[in-house]
Amino acid sequence: MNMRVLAVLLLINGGVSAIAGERFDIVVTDRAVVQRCVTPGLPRSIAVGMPGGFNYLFDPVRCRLVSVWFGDFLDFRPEATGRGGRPLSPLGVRRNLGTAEVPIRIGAEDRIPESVEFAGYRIEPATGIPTFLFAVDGVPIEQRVLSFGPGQVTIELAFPLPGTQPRLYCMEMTAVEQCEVSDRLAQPRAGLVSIPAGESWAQIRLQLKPTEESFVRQQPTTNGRLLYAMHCMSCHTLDGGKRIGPSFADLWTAPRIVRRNGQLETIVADEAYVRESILQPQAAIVKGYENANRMVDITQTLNEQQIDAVVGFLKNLKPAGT
Amino acid sequence: MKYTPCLLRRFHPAVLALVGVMGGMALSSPAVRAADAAASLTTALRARATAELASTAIQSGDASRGEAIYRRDAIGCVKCHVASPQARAEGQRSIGPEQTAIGNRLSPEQLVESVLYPSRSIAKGYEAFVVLTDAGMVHRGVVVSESPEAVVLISPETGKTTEIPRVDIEEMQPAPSAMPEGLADQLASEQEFYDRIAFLSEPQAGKGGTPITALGKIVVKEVPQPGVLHPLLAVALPNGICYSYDPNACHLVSVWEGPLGWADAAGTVTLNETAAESFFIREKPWRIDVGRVDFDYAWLGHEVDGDEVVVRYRLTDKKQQRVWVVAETLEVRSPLRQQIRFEITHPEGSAEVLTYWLQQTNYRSVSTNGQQAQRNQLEFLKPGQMMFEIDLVRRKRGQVLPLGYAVEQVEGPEPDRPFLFEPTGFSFGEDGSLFVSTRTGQIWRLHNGVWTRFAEGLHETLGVRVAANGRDVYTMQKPELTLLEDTDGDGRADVYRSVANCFRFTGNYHEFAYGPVRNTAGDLFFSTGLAASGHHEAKESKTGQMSSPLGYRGWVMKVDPQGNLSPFASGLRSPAGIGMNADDELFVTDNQGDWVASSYLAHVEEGDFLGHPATLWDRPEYGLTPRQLDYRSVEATVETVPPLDEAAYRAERKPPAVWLVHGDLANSPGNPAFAPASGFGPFGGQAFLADISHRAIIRVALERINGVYQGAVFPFIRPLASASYSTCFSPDGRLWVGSVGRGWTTGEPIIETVSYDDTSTPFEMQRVALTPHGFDIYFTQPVADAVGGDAMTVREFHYLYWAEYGSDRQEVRVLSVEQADLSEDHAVLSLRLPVEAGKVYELDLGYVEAESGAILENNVAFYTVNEVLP
Repeated sequence: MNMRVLAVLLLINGGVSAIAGERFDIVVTDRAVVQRCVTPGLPRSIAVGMPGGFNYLFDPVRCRLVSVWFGDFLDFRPEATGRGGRPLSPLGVRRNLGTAEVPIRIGAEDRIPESVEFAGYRIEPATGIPTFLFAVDGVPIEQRVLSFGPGQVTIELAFPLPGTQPRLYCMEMTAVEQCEVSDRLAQPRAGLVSIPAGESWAQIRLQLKPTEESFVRQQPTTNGRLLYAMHCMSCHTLDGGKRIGPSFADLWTAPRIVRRNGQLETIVADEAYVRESILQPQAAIVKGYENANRMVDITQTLNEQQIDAVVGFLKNLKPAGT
Repeated sequence: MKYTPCLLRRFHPAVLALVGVMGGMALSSPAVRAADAAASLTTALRARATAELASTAIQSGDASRGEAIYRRDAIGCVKCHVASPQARAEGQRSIGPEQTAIGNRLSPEQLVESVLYPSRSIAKGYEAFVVLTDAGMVHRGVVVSESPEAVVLISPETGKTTEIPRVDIEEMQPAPSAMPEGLADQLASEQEFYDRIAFLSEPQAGKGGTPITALGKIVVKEVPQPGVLHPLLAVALPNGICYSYDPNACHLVSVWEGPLGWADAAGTVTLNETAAESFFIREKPWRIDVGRVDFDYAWLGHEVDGDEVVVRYRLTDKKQQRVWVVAETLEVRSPLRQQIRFEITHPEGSAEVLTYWLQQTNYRSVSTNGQQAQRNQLEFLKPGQMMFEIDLVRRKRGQVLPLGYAVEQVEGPEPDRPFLFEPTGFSFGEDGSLFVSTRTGQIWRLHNGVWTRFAEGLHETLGVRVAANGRDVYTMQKPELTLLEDTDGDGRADVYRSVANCFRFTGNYHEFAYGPVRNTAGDLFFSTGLAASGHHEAKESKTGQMSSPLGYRGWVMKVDPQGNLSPFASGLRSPAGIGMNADDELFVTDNQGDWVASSYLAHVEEGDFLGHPATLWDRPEYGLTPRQLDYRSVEATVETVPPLDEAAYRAERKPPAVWLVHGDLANSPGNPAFAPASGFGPFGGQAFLADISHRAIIRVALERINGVYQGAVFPFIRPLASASYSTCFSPDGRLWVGSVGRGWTTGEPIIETVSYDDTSTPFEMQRVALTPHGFDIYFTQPVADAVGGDAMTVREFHYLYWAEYGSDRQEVRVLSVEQADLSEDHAVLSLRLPVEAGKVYELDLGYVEAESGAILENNVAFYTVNEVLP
């Protein structure tokens, strides 16, 4: 597979489309965006979205790059609605690059760090790109994660105190197709990069495998009955009772007279009529309701799938008395 | 931020997401505002100040034209708002509140607001909820009662009630106002808008005819009602107060001042009901126990006994046909205070508990001589109780604002969606710039009238504090205390430095963190909340408990100037407010719930245990949590925990400095802000807190007795415009108040400021001091002579410390004041009465006038006694 095809595949799988919920998406434009949040399985997530659709999660507890995804950044709805505080969903297929443990070791691969101290991050004023600051066993480290193309991930490590011990970087390789490292670095085996003592800078360039998974955005509820109760019920009954608008009783069977463009006409509701009534409530008004309150513009509140769900719910209404 | 039991622990993500769209979020969204752009009149009117619209309406609106508009079909007001209480009595159901008396309830500004922004404030009793049950059923309606076991909803449209067992509830969320947006667009002109507001604002008292008043002798009129057997009894009392009683449903209906009504030439009586306040009593209110058996009601008639009317009726139980006879009398002490008395004849040998059912009430307090087991608005009698009394204390209408104080709104910035400007904390820098943290994780700076974004991308920031260098800013994120450094001085943080992160955070939405505050030594303090579910609970309970993952949740944590984090004090539940006074003393508020009888303000010292036992497992004696967590232990949770020694923690618990008396004062308080010595009136050094549920500011005047803090809490301003939460004093002595109100209650995120104009003196109780014999009440203005005596009521009560959600007031007793002396300068009122440690004293002064003629509006204080004087 050539790289171009791979790139296209990755972008498609990243799922750029955001019909639903886009009002709650954190949109990345010309600057990198950092957002701390809960993500599934990682309460202390630091999510980073870069211009161009590259995104990653950083874990400040073990100071590790956890996963990356290509496409849109984050759906913020779980944080910005209701009581908030629910996990945010990355808007793409997450590719794991982090092992479960601290990825950086001082001296030897099997030396579990005594201390890992997250110190925060520095934002580059012009680009918004964060550099994570931390220390492993007292060795200060700065880390940036960048991408220079589809499926490409570059990890940069800087060591302000070059030190006298080698440093090792461990990775999860299942999503990685190819790994290149900067001069003087070695790869003793797949998933392990060795940085010699005294080296103040290291770069690890990864090319990811294409993913078979495709990204499906979590949708807001499409329970038609619930949507009816929340948005329709205060004006439209199901049982023939009269409220602000006409009842939905016998909606699909009983003929009704509507006024369209000033003219009365008799119709039996079909899906097109119901859909029109939701999307353009003023187009055809049931006789007797011409002077009623105008119906609210529900498209401000419900997305297309939700409107479909309401129509679906109405379609399955049983005729009154059965 | 309070965890209420009405929202269950299992959240269906799709439902939550949906409710997010619904839960009022959309109201403040630019997207929605933009959508209005095409709709001309609403947009045009919204662009103008509400006060300006209201004053134009008063000056140039024509109420009679307004009435015609109101009745015009196209506008449709009458479809949802019945014209009058009579119309309601005729059986018309009202989806919205009655409109004709609305001018008595709402100011012209509030009316303008409710037409232009229907969802901003929804009238009490009309806030709808949507409940989704496990079975997939959806119920929508107004909550009429709630208990640990069930929620009862009434549909505003049909009047049907539905009881939903809590175990069946999957999700319950507020629904938006049923009133459509953009109603003004259906008006033909701006003038019509003014006419309509003018019509709505007119007090609807006069109806013509001869006014009926008591003139020294009680007057009782029987007013026929359509469709029912017995006429309504309307009573005018010699004290100028009137009430009505419905014999068909055997309940008091409403009470009002002024004429009883008007009689026309034919003698037909029109009641002055638009001035009336409801009694909030259900139709046919008697039950046996919690309604296992219902009664048939038989009206036996009424008689006038001196200045009172006695009504009699018979209750026959539907199961065994036993008969109770009730004689009911109302004593109207004032428009704000009534007592209902029942004399009950029980059938031979019956030992059942009778209950009397109120509606969801807006009373300041309801107390009885029954079992003190009020639940679901049911008042429980004692078995066989023959004399039953219900004391009702109402709230005054309108806003209470002490003399000399003014409330103003401050225009906030509009962050780009999806971020919102929900102010959770304020801090002022030395250059006068204000930093504001927001719930969606941004820090904004207001400098010289211009808002700029200082930092972003943070995790639910619930507090902010300008650092000692005056340039950098601390903020509390859910997982971390962070220092935001502006190293290049461009007014935006460029280094986000982690200051403290070694406390557990498992991702439960309720694991909030608040602060920091700083003492003069440079120590920082923050507080952490327990999780709502998922971990360890201290004890079995019927109402559910907060849960601890251990790792210092429910603690106050301290960070010393070297950056070392250490546990400082335990026992907190959901400590949504942390503050420090001028003497470096630390105070925390907590929210009512399990082990927290009522919201409180506590003075916190190192090692204190404030009462929530789930926090104790972190203490060293259990060996479960290291004193200092590190990267390996900060996420590790513990499988099992040992039982706790209840006797030990009961004995160890440090009581709050003051209870913020749930119901009366605060249900979900934020942080205490301590007033500067001058600039905010005669309350220097006192604590001011905002409350989300009450939309109110309360005031706390503390004193130390035997070295222990206690004192009095007073209402101060109520209501504010929104669900107020965060408070801070600016260097110029103004109180800044931030409103949030998403998730627990509906509110617009706004900033209000309270300022004091030092040319007027408020008339308030400045403080209450404990004396060896009772209390001294210090006033801010000399009091006119007549204070005390019958007008004053002192009640004593205490709370339970238990695993259940909150506590009712226990053993409420009305104390007789042995002596009330006014000092020579009329500034201090000394009360002589017995005082006990561990009790709360409600000092309700009734009607008090200052020598200046000012009336004491905030006439109640709650004094918490921890220590007594010898």
